[in-house]
Amino acid sequence: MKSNTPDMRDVIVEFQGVAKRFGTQEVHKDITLKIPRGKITYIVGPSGTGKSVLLKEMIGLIRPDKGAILLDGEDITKMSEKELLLLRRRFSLLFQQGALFDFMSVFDNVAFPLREHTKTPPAEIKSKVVNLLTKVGLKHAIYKMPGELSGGMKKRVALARAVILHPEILMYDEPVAGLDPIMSSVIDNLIYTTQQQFNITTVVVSHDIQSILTIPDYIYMLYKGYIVYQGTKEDIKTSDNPYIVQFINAKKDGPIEVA
Amino acid sequence: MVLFNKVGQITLSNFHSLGKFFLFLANSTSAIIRPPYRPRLFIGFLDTIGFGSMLIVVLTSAAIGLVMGVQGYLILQAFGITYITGGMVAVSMTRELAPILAGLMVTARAGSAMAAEISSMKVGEQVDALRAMAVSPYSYIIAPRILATTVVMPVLMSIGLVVSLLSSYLLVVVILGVNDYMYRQYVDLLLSFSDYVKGMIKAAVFGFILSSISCYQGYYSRADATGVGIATTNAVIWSSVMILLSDSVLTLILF
Repeated sequence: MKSNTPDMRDVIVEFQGVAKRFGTQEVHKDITLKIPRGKITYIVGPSGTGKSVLLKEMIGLIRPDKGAILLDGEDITKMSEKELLLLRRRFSLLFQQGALFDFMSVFDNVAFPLREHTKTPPAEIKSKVVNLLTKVGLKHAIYKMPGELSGGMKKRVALARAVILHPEILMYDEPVAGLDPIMSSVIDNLIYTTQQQFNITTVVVSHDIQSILTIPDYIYMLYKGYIVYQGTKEDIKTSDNPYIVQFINAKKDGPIEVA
Repeated sequence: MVLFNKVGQITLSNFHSLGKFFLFLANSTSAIIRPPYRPRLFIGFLDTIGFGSMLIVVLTSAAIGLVMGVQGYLILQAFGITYITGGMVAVSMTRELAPILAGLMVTARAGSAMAAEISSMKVGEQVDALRAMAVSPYSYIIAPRILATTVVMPVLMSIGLVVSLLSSYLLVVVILGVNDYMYRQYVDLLLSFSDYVKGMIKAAVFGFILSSISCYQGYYSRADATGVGIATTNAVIWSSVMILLSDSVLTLILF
């Protein structure tokens, strides 16, 4: 996939000194980062370092204790829930476990954003949903209920639901975790082509080394509440940053402690 | 000192919970009044809450009607005025027992289900998914349930009332042989239409209370399997307690 070095002066989302604590656990101590507009940014790091929390903070599902999160220069941490609801129309988030509505069929889950936020005619909704489900290899499961699907299938349905509205900012929380290598490649390709086709700002939380080395335009690494590395995928290959080197090479020894 | 600290902490925690509940009520009421309205969800819940609870309301109302009939008959027999039994049963069922019974049965059948469903949605991050998709959970999850329960409760109460009056009539008139004409005369004499309207008001209020409490317990439950159990139990306990407490207040206001 072609290199696409981002222009860090054209930023859509910016974290400024964000801190977040859950009880005694300090998840974010001082997070400062910039998400470039229209590019693919990966957030990587060991499990339990608050990568998913970061995504949720970005759309105001979780409020930080300290710091600011700017969306096009406007601080979303100061917004009311009502203002946030309007703002979230610009976003879409693929949850780690899919978060499909278990009282709706696969078709209704994927059609949900269209029905809620657009006046798309039913025939067009059906064609869009079928088209997307075909792309993620789930056309045969269109009328199944989420309870009848495997974890990987749920994730693919959730992916279809996340991309159906072509939002301005698309966020994926571990999109390929739990998928087989072939399906991971299909999903990676879908993430890449969706971004290229619609120029969507894409933020991906991932552990998948293969994806990290091929897809992102920019990468941040999170560890113990701080950003410990940032750079392009080309930078990673030549970097001597001990955190990213240990992570990419999956080494036991290094600054990242194995809990 | 330790005791004072404990009492202080408990008091503060209770005030915090109460404040959270009233905020939840304000958001829910606002979601009921303001668009977007969700008629399909509302009708769906009318069906699941109304039809789902009907059998249990009918069965318990029939049993209570019989019990009230036989107890009333036995007491009034001592005074030789068994023909008043119908009137007595009708008044007590309409004013008090039918709304309370419907409230408690709907709590057991639908209130517990509401708490469990919403709590499970939290566990599966479905509530967050709604928020992430710019859909208010109050508008999508809470408002249709509260509105449907409030609307369906007077209907269930009316059905329960009819069944209890029929079962009491069958026992007292058909089986125990009290004069049919006198029995009906005293029902007409003692029971007024305003009693029925007030009973319906009570039922609607109970519906609002039980659905608000059940939804609140689900919405603010811990997002794990234990949380679902705790939410369901709390929903049933607090709804039942609040139905009985509010009944006292409503009785003082309405009658």
